[in-house]
Amino acid sequence: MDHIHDTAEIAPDTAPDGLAVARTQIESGLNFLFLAAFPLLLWVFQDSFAGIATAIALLWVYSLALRLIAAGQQIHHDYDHADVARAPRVPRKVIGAILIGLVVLVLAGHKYDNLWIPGLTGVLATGLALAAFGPDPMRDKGSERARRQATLDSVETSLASLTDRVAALDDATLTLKVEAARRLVLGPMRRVSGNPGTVERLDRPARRVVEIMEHEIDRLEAAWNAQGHVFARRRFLAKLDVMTDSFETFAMQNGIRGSRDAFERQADKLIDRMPRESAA
Amino acid sequence: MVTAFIALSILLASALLVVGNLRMVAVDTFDAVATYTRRARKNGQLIRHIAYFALWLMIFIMSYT
Repeated sequence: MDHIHDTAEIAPDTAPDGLAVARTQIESGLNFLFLAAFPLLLWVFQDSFAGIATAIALLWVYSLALRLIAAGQQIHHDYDHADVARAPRVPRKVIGAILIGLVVLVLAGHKYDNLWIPGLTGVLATGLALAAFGPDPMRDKGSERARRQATLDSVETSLASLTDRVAALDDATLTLKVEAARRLVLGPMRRVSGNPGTVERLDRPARRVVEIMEHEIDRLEAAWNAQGHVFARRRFLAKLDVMTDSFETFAMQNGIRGSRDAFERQADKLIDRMPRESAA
Repeated sequence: MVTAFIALSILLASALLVVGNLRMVAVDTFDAVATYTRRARKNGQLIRHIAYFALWLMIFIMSYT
């Protein structure tokens, strides 16, 4: 049973294969824990309707708790193996442990007439679950500088892969526009990489831009060889425009990117005009 | 009838085997538990495992009405 949670046994250099194996092993302890609630199935056969409903609801909550703990453990495992990591925003393991405590409380409430024994067992179950699976990581990992670098790297890689995907569609205008958007997002991020506060502030919108672009490119690729290809292309361009505009406004408002000067305006106009003129 | 006979005979045979080698079984079990405890204590997992089994038992007993 030592594979339930001791993820530290696997050396980091066995990744990524070892990582995947360890991640699947995390689940087996939880699967075994689910079997503990199997006597609940007996309620379905012998009890009243209320009993059946209670049993099903309890099983549902219980499996939800186990899923939460499993997800939390995988996050924790990846956190342990990464050099730079952010603490998870939702403490899944703690929530799962509290849910298990609730399930035990309701179960004990059916067994005993008074209230304090079920309450005690519920609290005890939460404590045991916390002791067995551990609390979530609470603080960010890695030095400030390394974390900033990692943020920049991840945004850069995902943007590069997105532009590659668009370039694979073999459309000059789209490629140009996406390139421009990429430079627009990366420029301010690179420029402020010495300034922690601004990087923090810029991190979320940059991630959001990447997310939206990914979604839009998925749609574009799906529509590319089908009927609505022209419309999809126009739609994508419009979306991209809106997005880059809003990102730019945001960057400008936060004083990251100075307002544009006359040269930049000229350059933009030229780039905008280029495909139109050459088409004519 | 035949199935019951086969099942009972297998049950009986395995029970006889265990009882016949009771000493060996006990020694092996003790050995396994001791090895596990040593290893678990070494990587500091003992408390977690005990908590896990306590939780398992607790849920089982509570759901068994």
